[in-house]
Order: sequence, then structure tokens, then C-alpha cells
Amino acid sequence: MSDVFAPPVEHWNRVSPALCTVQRIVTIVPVVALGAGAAVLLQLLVGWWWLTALVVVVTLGLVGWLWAWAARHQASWGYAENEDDLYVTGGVAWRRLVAVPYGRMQFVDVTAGPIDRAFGIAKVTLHTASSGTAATIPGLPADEANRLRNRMTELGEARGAGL
Amino acid sequence: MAPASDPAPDPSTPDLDVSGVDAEALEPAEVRGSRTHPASAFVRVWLFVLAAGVGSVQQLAEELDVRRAAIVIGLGLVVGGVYGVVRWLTTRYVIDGHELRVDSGLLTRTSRRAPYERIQSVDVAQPLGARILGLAELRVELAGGDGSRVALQYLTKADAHRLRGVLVERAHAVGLPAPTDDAADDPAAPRAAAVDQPERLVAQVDPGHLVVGTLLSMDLIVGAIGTLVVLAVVGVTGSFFLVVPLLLPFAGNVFRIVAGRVVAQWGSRLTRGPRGLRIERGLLGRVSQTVPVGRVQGVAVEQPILWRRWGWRRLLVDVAGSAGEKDSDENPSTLLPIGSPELARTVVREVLPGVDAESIPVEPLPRRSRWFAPIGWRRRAVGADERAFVTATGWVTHRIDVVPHAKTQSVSVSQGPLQRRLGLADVDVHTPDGPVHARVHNMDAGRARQVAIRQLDAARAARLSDDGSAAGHRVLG
Repeated sequence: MSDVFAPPVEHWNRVSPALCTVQRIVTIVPVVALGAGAAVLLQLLVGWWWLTALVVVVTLGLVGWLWAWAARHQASWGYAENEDDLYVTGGVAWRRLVAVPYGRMQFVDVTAGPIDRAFGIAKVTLHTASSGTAATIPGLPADEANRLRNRMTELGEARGAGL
Repeated sequence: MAPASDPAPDPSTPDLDVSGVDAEALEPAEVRGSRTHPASAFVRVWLFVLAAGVGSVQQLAEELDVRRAAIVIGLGLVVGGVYGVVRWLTTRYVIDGHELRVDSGLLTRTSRRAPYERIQSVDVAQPLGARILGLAELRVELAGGDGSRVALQYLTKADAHRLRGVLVERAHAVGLPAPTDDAADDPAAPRAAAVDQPERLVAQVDPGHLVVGTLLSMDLIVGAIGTLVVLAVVGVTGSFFLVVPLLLPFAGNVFRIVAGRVVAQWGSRLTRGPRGLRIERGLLGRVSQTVPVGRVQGVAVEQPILWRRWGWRRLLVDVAGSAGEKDSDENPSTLLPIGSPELARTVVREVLPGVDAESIPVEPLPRRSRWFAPIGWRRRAVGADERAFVTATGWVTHRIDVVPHAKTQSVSVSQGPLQRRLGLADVDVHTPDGPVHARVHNMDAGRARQVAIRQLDAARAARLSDDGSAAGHRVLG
């Protein structure tokens, strides 16, 4: 069976490895803070060492899983352009491949949170007249995000079709 | 407000009369502004009477005699009448070279303006009060989402329709709103003359079908049975305090269904005019809407289980620029509340020329998709012909969703972990928000990819062949 999520052109353009680091920061830091806080509180208020140990073990397990997940998440994203459409794929367990014709693009958003900016990446979202499109590419290097946005806007205007 | 601040679409030709219709007749109005119909003052008087009644409900409840009631009603009439007259005196509308403007208000002057290039649709509505007085309201929808509406309350029905014709004509002349495909249908007819062309009747919904069809709705039957059960329980046990909390959900639902499907859809009449498909409907207040045919994004054909014996169908429609699933005054999502298969086919052909929804060849899903839909998988199917993409779903209510290739927004293939194990995937052809959802779950994964790619090709081809009429008309700006 041919791979459902194979690239439509030669290969997928992959996103920046920095996305992996950013994901690890935004998911693992809160989990560690929560786990550590809970462990300290439990130790002080309840004082059952095994309960505290359980919390620590669960937290560490979660951290390990998130660590591994971030890498797979980063590796899952890909995008490709051909003459008429932009293809975006992504997702670890629930995978998705969406194709957006340039002529259907209404507008393109580039967003970057503070942590994203610190690592020089941004998220590009393509909007058509349908909210089902939901074509988002996270973790693009800032330059590439801008290039993509400009190119999409340009192509969208050139190919723009009426509804 | 100074005319100098008007957002002129084209300063070089500010007063160019492009419509070619009715310009002379309107010329004086364009200078000083016209009043709405004098009887407009009294359309909403009943609201004041109602308010007076509600406000004095306590006094009336204590001692209800004719004199008190007469005083309350009289008070409501006088206040409402004075308010209405002042409102009428202070309201004027202007139609000039580039916009419709409605100025109103005594203390706070409001000026609502509808520049022609932003007009999305113009509808004539007749709420109950206006209908009794033989008046109609002109509603102009503008691009830009909620609350962007200019309403002209009220005109005689004939005036409202005439004005609607003029506004639609000018909006088209400015060129921005999407073209209906009249030009393609009837290239010989000059645009200006089109407004006065007689409309052709496409469909008239049989009131008997409407009533029987509504009675044969699963949700109505559930609501009615619930109501009866509650009444029986209350009758047997004598616990009357249960009536309100138990009865309200069921009876309320029954009421909602009857209001929505019988009262609102009563006497549905579809006519083909120069600007698209006109829908007129409603038992108490008549609503008239236009579905611009060129902006139809998709159609759904529904066949509820209890209608199957007679083969009746219901048609839903997605129109660009009117998001939302529910029927509201300005958003027609029900195209045909009920009709025979032949009627449904005729109406679908009318909004999607050349598409016969139910005879497009479809392919079934693989047997292993039964793990996700043990009964429904037999009914599910996907297919396409040279004009449209279709999906079939639903074993209780058979449903066919049709999206013309030219209106495909984007296409996605998705797969969850269980689907991956079984080699299945979903395909979704995206349309603007509305009742039509062309998606098929649990296809063979390899086939899903082929279908998606094929759909992209078909959409591209359709867009290219459509370009002649669509170029330069980007709606939803």
C-alpha cells in the first residue's frame, strides 16, 4: 500500500528543529512545576513518603513521554508547494494532510509567541472561506514564514477565484 | 453628515447612472431624501400596547374590568402612535450615485449607509405588523458580518420590490458582489431590463405535504410522546408540581418544531428571477429571500426515515457569506422544506446547473469500516461526476451532500490510530460554514488519497473554466 501521507512532490519541507525545543519548554515546564509543587505540598502536609514518591514517578514518566512526543511532533510536520496547491501534513497519532488551492486562500496569518520568538520560529495559518481548512504550519523559521506568507498572498491574488 | 465625507467608489463619475432603470423616477428623491410610507408609524404600535399590558399586569390581575383595560390599551396606542409618528417624521432615506443612506432619530441622529459596492443582498420582508398594513421592510445586507444591515421600515410592497430592483441593479453595476449566473443563462437579455422580467415559478410547496411531513418527524414524535407521558404521569400521581419542569422541555420542543417547520416554511414558493432563486415563505410574516445562484456552495438532500415511503426529500443549501446552520431571516439554509423526488431534482438543477445529485455514481466503503459504523457503513458512499463531488451518509436519515467542483475550498485526508491499524482514512472536502458537509469517514486509505487528489484536479479544472465569469469578483472581502 502506498503511504497515504506521502509527499505529493519529491519531498516534504520539514519544519525547524527549534519547534521540538519550544514544545518541550511549553509542555514540560508546567508539568514539572505542577508535579514538584504537589510533591512538596504532599510531603509537608500529609507526609506519606510513598505518596510523594508516586507523584514524583508519575511526573518523571510524563516528562519522559512529553520529551519523546515533542520530537515526533516536530518530525511529523511537513509542507510542500506545487503549481496550484499548498500541501500541509502533520500530527502524531491523528495525522492529517490538507491541500489548499492558492486561488482559494482568503488570507494568511503569521503568529509567534514570546517563546517562539526567542527561538526564531513562527506559525503560519492559511484561511479559506471554510473554517474546515485549518491549515496550520507551526515551527517555521521566521524568514521562511514571511516568505511563505508573501508568496501565498501573491499567488492568492493572482489566482483568486470568486466564491 | 457632510456629503463630502461619502466614500465614493469612483470619484470621477460620482453620479453616473449605471442602472438604466428608474433613474428619472428617483431623481427628486436623490436630492432631498424621501420619507417611508406614512402608515409605517403604526406598524409597531401593538408592541407598545403589549408593553403597557405587561407593565400593568399586576393591577389588571387584581381587578380586571373593561375600563382599566381600555385605559391601558389606550395609553399604549397613544404612546406608540406618537413615537411612531415622530420616528416616521425624522426618518428619511436617500439613494444617490453611490449609496443608500437612511437617516433617523430625533435627539440622536443616526445615519446608516449602504455603499453599493458593499451590498451583499437585498431582501424584502413582511413582519406580521407590516403585513396587516400592507407594508414591507427592505433589508440590505452588507459585507462585514453581524450587524451590518441597513433596514428601511416600511414601504408599500410594490415600492419595496421596485427599490430592491434598483439597489440590486446598482450593486451589480458597481461590480463587486458575486455575479449570479444569469449572464450565462440568458446572455441575450440586457442586464438593465432584467429587473422587470417576470419571474418563473420553480416550485410551490404543498401545504398538505408540509403538515404531514412535519408530523412524521422523529423529533416531533419523540416530543409529543414525551408530552403525553408526562401528562399521564401527572394525571395518575396527581403531582402537579412536576408539570412545569417536566413538560417544558418536551412541549417547548414540539412548539419550536411546529413554529420552525410549519409556520416559518408555510407556503414556500421558489421563483427564478434575474438575480437568482427567490424564496418566499412564512404563514404570519412573509419573508422573501434571494439565493444568488452563483454563490451556492453546496446542497444537501435529506430523506428522513418516516418520509421514505413517499420518497419526500428536504433540501438544504450553503450560500457564501451567510454562515451558520440555522434558518434565520437573512440566512436561508432550507431551500425546499419538503417535496417529491422530481421536485427536489428540479430545484437542485436550478441552483447547481447540470447537477443531478442522486444519479452521480458513488462507490461504497470497504467492509472493514463496519468497525466504526456497524449499520451505517452500508449506506456511506463517495463519488463524483464531471461537475460535483458527492457523499452519502446516514441510515436513519438518508443524506446526500453535493459540492460543485468549482466551489471546493480545500481538501483533507486524515487518519486516527485505529484507522491506521485498519488501513482506513477520512476525506473531507471543505465548504464555507453552513449545513453542507461533504466528508466521508473510513474509506480505504489508499483510495482516500486518490479521491482527494482527483478532487483537487477536478476543482482546479472547474476553477479555470469558471474564470471568465468569476474573475474580479471576490466576495467575502
